[in-house]
Amino acid sequence: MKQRNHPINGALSLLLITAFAILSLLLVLIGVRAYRAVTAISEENQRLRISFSYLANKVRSAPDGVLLETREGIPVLALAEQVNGNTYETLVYFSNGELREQFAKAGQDFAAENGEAITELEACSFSMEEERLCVSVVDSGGTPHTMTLTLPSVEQEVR
Amino acid sequence: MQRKNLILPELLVNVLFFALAAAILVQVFALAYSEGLKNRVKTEAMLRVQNVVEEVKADPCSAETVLLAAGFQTGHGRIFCSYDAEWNAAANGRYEISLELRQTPAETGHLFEIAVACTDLELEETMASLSTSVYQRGAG
Repeated sequence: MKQRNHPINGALSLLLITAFAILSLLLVLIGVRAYRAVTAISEENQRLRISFSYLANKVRSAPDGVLLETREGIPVLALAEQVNGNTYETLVYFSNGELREQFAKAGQDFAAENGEAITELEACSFSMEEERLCVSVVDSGGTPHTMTLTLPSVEQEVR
Repeated sequence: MQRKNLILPELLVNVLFFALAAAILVQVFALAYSEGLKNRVKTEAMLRVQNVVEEVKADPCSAETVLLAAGFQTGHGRIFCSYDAEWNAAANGRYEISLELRQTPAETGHLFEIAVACTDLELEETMASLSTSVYQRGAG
């Protein structure tokens, strides 16, 4: 009555467990790759959206217009506003792989490293064409994206 | 002894269950990846639609001339431009940005109604659309 345990049963079980372990590991590796790709794409999208919507909102809500200036060799968008009779400026510029913002009293010395980082970008440039401000952003994949904003009154100035 | 014989079927059931879970998981990963790519295209589409709207809002009277110079075409009462998958202007491309501009005369000027949309011609799906209106005094 005693049933003999066939050696092939044990070997098959071991083979199954090994195949299962290998395939599980493979699946985890595929999953990690897919997850990284998905998060990279969504992060890139988010960076692009944040930088463009931040710039569009800043420029559209600038009460005294927008100036494109060059300070310390860096192209800077200067948005002036009056606070308690004093003129303050919001300076938006790209430096060290980051889009930065600096809020200071007009006429103060400009130091790029003092600005607050908004978002990381591969490259960002500003240009004025007639009454339009063109913002070009390059994503980490090297793809350029351009946004055009129509301004009521713009001037170009080099300091 | 009866318990020992059950090891192989148990294992097979487990492996089958995990294979099914893995298949579902791979499908979900693929879907998430394609959704991410789709979102990237939508962002670009919205950006381009916004740019066309800004271009028209700047000067609605000469918008058609400016857009035609930028590679747009006219037909069926609209101005359009098609792009390939890499967003380069191309005839019979995958994406199409179309603009409908309606001009209504008013007492002291003209009201311009602007509607811009970006369509994925392959999926026949609107990726992004914006509509706005601009009033211009004395325009014609």
